[in-house]
Amino acid sequence: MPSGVEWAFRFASETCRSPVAAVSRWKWLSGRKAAGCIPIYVPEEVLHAAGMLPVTIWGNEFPPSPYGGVPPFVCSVAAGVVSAIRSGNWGEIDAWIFPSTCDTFQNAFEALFPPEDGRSRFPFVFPATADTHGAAEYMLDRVEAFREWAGEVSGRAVSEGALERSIRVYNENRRIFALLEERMTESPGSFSGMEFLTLSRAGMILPKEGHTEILRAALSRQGDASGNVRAKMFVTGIMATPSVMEAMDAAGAAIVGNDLALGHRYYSGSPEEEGDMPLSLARRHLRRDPCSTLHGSVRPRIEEVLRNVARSGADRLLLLRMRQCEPEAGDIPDIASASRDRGIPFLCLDVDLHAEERASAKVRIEAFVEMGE
Amino acid sequence: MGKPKRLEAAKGMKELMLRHFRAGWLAREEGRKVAFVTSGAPVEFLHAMDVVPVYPENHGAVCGVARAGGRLCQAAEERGYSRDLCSYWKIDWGARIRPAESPVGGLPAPDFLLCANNICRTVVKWYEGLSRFYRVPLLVLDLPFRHSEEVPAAREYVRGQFRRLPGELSRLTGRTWSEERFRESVALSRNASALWQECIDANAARPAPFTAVDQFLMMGPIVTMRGTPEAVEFYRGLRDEIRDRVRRGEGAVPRETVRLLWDNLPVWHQLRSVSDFLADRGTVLVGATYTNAWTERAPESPAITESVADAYARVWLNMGLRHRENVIRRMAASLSADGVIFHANRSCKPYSFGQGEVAARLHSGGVPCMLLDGDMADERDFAEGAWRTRLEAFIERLGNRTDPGREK
Repeated sequence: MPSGVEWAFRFASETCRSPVAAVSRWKWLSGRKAAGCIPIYVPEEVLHAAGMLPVTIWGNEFPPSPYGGVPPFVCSVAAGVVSAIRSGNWGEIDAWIFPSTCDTFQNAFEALFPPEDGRSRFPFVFPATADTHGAAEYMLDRVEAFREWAGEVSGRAVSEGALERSIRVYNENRRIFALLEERMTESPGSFSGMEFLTLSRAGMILPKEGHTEILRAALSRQGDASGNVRAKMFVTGIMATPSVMEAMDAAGAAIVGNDLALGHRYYSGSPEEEGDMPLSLARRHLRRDPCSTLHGSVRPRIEEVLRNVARSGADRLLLLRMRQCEPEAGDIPDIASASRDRGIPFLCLDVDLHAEERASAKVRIEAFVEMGE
Repeated sequence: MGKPKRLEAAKGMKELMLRHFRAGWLAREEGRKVAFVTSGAPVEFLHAMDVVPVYPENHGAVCGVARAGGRLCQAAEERGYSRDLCSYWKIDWGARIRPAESPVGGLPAPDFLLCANNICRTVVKWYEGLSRFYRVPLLVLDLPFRHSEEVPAAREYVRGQFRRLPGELSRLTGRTWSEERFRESVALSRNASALWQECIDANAARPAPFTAVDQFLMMGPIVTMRGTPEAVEFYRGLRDEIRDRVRRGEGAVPRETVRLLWDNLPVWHQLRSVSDFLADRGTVLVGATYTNAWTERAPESPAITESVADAYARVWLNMGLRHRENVIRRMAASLSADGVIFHANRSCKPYSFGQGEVAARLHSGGVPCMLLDGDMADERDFAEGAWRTRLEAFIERLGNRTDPGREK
């Protein structure tokens, strides 16, 4: 019999390896619907309150299909999503939500569904700037529209009470995830990069209640791995791939902080659990941690990243840039120079979900770790 | 068969644009405020406050035409910008490092920035970088993308931002808001846009009096001088010249046989060569979705700010693909186009991602389409041989079509 910790990692790994099977199993057991969420700004609590399973699709769940027909200047996240949907690989998903995260996702929503695909879909066009006058009212309107849509799709109206319960479930999950990140900061090497990626990704597929249990089990693991740590890394960007994480683990680089979209930014920021629930969700969106796809003058992203690097005790900053991602690419020279000005070694590594350069990534990470040892 | 016939107005155009670029530099000397603006920003507000607008995107196009784009992009890449970033953005950065490479010597420093995300969301990042570099304030106008029907809350959100703009500009310029000058500027924009539309619509005539390449070259004032008397005057002159050509039955291309539409920004660095190549084969580009985008205008209304806000919210790139498909269909019908060339422009993702789908829908409705890869301003991303071969095959195919009743 595997221990609780072993079981937790095994279950999370299996979920990441075969997300469709996980969704399928949940649907069979619950008899309810699953909603595909394009990363990352979907207020999932609404879907949860409607009795659906929100599943975040990252585009690397399937190999790219030759029928994808996606132009080469589209990032591999959008290309993967489009190609998988067009190939019918996400048949388990009953409805789709496309947030207006970037131009590419906006267009993907328009372009990708074949005419015969009658599945319901919701374009979540949210305010692109958090501090614009009227953004809160507009966001609230979108949350309400989304709530109505989710009720129609699921056949279960989203009541205020259900929303409150869902917010509590999500907040608990965020709280435990924050503990995981805290442990990684305080005890570098306590979780490997690959373990972090697995635990983080699994939570975007599994129901949050189950994921919270997995995180709790993982956190019950004791032991000190600090002896093997050669570098303390802060990782920023959209997402890491397994090969990048494996290269970091092999090189002895411990992640002590991150603001990855598939990581900290997905889980951070809790809505209030009292009062007007849709308003609480709207507020959470507007207070999100800075991201390259959201404009905010109050907490500019670059300063925030560097503040977090200092807070985490990291001795290096690694930026994982999704190839063809313009918002991310635009920040790079300024992050690099700001980082160097503060004496923080900086490395930018290109990531492409469908055309990875494993050997090159490995060599560069190794060299980055060796730097300044 | 020969080259396309040039328009007299083209001569005045060059002078006008040079004056526009100089205006930014002169404004600095005169102590007037200079603002960098995106092409979809409501410049009429700036005119009302005597602020001189400068358009980095337009500067990118000018560098593209001069074939300086590749070198300037490379300069930006040396700073750390990636190869796959928008070439206008990189040209802007490159010219800051190497202003001598720009045909107009680069751009003057701005006092503040006005960025509207109705043309793409990338510009917000670009302008954030400019704001950091120049240490100047950045005003962002957030105009939510419209997938299908208009969302009333989105309309109100945009209108609210536009209503607050005079106050923001007063704060930044120290000047008092002039509603009268604003109304004047909006009226001038409307007039220029209406004249521009007349020019574009004149290509319904056979033979077409001017080509879409002419339109690309003549669109500078409608982009950068909207809201000024100079733009109105220029387009009145252009309209009259085009009318004369129509009256005389004079076409831009000798022995016109094939008429095509163009979708997306042009390939600035190949304008003449593409135009000559087509003309040599009796083919004329009768219209372009990009030049047509500047026919959008605010209707006359007592609630002028709201009317302007609504117009800027529905610009071409802020609308869904179904809208774009319908516009192309209408343009193809009204301009009697035989087919559509889709320029899959690596640098403009919102314009280009989805073209394949629009092309497929149009094709199934009987409109022949082709896609060509390229980049609007970076000549490093242009395969001339492939373009020529594919264009030639497309034109031949269209020329061989035997549609009964098709007018030749």
